[in-house]
Amino acid sequence: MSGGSFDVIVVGSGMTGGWAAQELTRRGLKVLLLERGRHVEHGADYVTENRAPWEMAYRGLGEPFPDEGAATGPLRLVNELTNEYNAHFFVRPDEAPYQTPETAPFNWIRGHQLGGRSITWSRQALRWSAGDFAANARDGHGLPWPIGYRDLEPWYTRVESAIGVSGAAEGLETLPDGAFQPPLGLTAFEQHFARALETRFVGRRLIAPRTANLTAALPGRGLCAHRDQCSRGCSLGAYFSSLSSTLPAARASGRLTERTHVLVEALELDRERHRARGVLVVDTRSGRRERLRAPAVMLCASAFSTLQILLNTRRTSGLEEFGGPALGAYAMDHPKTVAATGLFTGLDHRTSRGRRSSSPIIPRFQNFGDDERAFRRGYFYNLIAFRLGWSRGAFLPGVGAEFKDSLARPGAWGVGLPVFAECLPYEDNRVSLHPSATDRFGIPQLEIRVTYRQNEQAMLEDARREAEAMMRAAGVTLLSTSARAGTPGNSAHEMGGAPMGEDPARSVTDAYGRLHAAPNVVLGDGAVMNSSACQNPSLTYMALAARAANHLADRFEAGAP
Amino acid sequence: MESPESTNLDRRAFLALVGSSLIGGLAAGGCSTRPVAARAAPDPRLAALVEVLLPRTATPGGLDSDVPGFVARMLGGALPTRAREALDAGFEALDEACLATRGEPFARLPRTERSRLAGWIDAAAFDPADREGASLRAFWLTLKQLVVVGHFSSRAVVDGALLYDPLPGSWEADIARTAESRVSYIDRTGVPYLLAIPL
Repeated sequence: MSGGSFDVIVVGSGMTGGWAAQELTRRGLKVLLLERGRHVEHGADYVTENRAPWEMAYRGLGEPFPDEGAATGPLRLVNELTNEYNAHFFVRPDEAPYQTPETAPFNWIRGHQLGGRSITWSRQALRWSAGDFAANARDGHGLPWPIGYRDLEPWYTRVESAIGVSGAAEGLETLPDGAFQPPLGLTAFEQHFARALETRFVGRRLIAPRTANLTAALPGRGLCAHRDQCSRGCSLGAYFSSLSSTLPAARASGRLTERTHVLVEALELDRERHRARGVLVVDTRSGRRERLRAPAVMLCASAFSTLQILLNTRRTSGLEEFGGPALGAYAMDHPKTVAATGLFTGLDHRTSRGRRSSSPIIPRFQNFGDDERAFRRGYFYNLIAFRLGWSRGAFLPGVGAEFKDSLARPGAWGVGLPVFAECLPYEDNRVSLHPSATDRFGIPQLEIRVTYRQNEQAMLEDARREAEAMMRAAGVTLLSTSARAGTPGNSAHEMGGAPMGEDPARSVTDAYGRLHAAPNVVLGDGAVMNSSACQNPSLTYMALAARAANHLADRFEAGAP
Repeated sequence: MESPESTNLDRRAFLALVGSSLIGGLAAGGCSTRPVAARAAPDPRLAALVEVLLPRTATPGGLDSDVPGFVARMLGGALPTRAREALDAGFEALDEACLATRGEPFARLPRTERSRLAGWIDAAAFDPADREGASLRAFWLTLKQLVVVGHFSSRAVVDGALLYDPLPGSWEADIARTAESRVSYIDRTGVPYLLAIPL
């Protein structure tokens, strides 16, 4: 054993690892935080934060990994997540390989550094509803959640208050209100669109963004400056990341020890006592292996990386039943598409100033109340609507002096309706260890088999039809519509594989994320998701992590972690 | 003076020639005379196009902002192979059509003629109903994206024509648009549309 004496080893330093570290240290516990990637210093290491386009090799618009042959289009001006400004916060394709079937690709988008993907997340912070937690039990898909909205509500409030979420209270059942900072205003077109929805569609609303960008200052963090470049990192601390918020709080306790470049390959099990002694790790720079021990372990490595640790524990321990048959099953991501785009030429006398980094929301309205559709569950939209800037010149006809000069002035209103849909939990959407492929440390690679099916496709087809209808109702001229889900993983919302439940024969953890097979191991990330709902999951992950960490602290206080 | 009918015939014949040469070039595995590789210097045909696509006015033109240099840099390292092949084949096809119908390569045509031909290609590429436009689309839309991005993200243009607001500080959602309103030098508003363009 090495590394001193700790109460809890927390694996992962991102969205949920930060929350685990903050809550456990706040409760008086000594925490060793392990991160497989490099150290990132808040502020100093946001190396592209203030760079202008002409200071970047390809004006910030080049392929992020040009040598990797990711030839998905003639030119991805800015792809959806990774770009030239933020590529250093994403894992390169060859850096940590994994396997997928040839017929079922999966894009596993990861961030291996201190702060993880909390640096680059979209910041959309949406609560689940009571109906979301009840869905599995109601329609029989997946395993029933052992918890409901009421169990998580106080933790949602705690997380929102701490990270800072701007939004407006609306009293909607499908998207519960939270502890909000002042909302961000709607543009003239968005106000027009909201009126069109309310007059033409029953029960359909356009509401202000709900985003973890500060509209009221918090201790040590500044107001959002509306640069819309969050994924480069923000030295103002104006959006939530573990680097700006939870890790500084944990450090301030004096009870946090951080180690970077440490990859956890498996749990070290005490087979007699059905508990973990600690973790088996590899130093990613030297390759040196080590055992690190503590009375409890909290896995927050991100859903599939946590599964990899658990599946490798099963392999290395020889305990074939470790984790039970559900370990690796019910893996999910959110199918998404841009359901419709269009142009609106009215309201030419209005515009906006600043770059709001988030979008208003049309909350889920399907299969709710009197609304019944030919598919299970539902979807929600964001509405993206701005006066178009100079980049419209790339997709509109025109050449010559007049065309060039016109692009310096605000264009028509560009309107887009991106949609996230719920992915049903399918038992055979599964991650497992590949039988032969290993990484550079000899650790078996993960094999990911996740596909979207008839229900997901039916939702996106419905979303396309509804988007078209809403656009027309608002007087928008359509440019495109789509129901193409794209490759699973593209939403970077991968989750599931270690579902919660009371029955160890069917589930992997209990209602607090404690492994049935080793109760002093707590899962704090998205691996424990029994269903996906359609909302962005990070707020729910953080609430679950905070709840699980505090339950673990309670058990320490009771003398039996 | 040309009649509208003869102009239309000329336009269609020219576009058909560019389109067929382009398809032939791509089918043959891209351009044989200009292999897909990093380039040290901008293509003179590109400069001749940029001059008419974004001419100098009261604000800088595409040559002032060194669009050809930007495109050469993108071709040298940032673009997928497919895009580079589309551009190479497009330039070759443009030259072939100009030689066949006007007896000169594109870059040696008078500026007014280059402007007219660029306008034809642009209109056809953006018209989903145009038969010739379909074969031109990958070449032209790739080129247009590069030219627009290269120009408007340059220091020269930001200083002279756009709103330089690196730290807006506030979000003012609904304000009056005035004659002086200028778009921000940082612009992601076109992204959903660019992602939606089927190429």
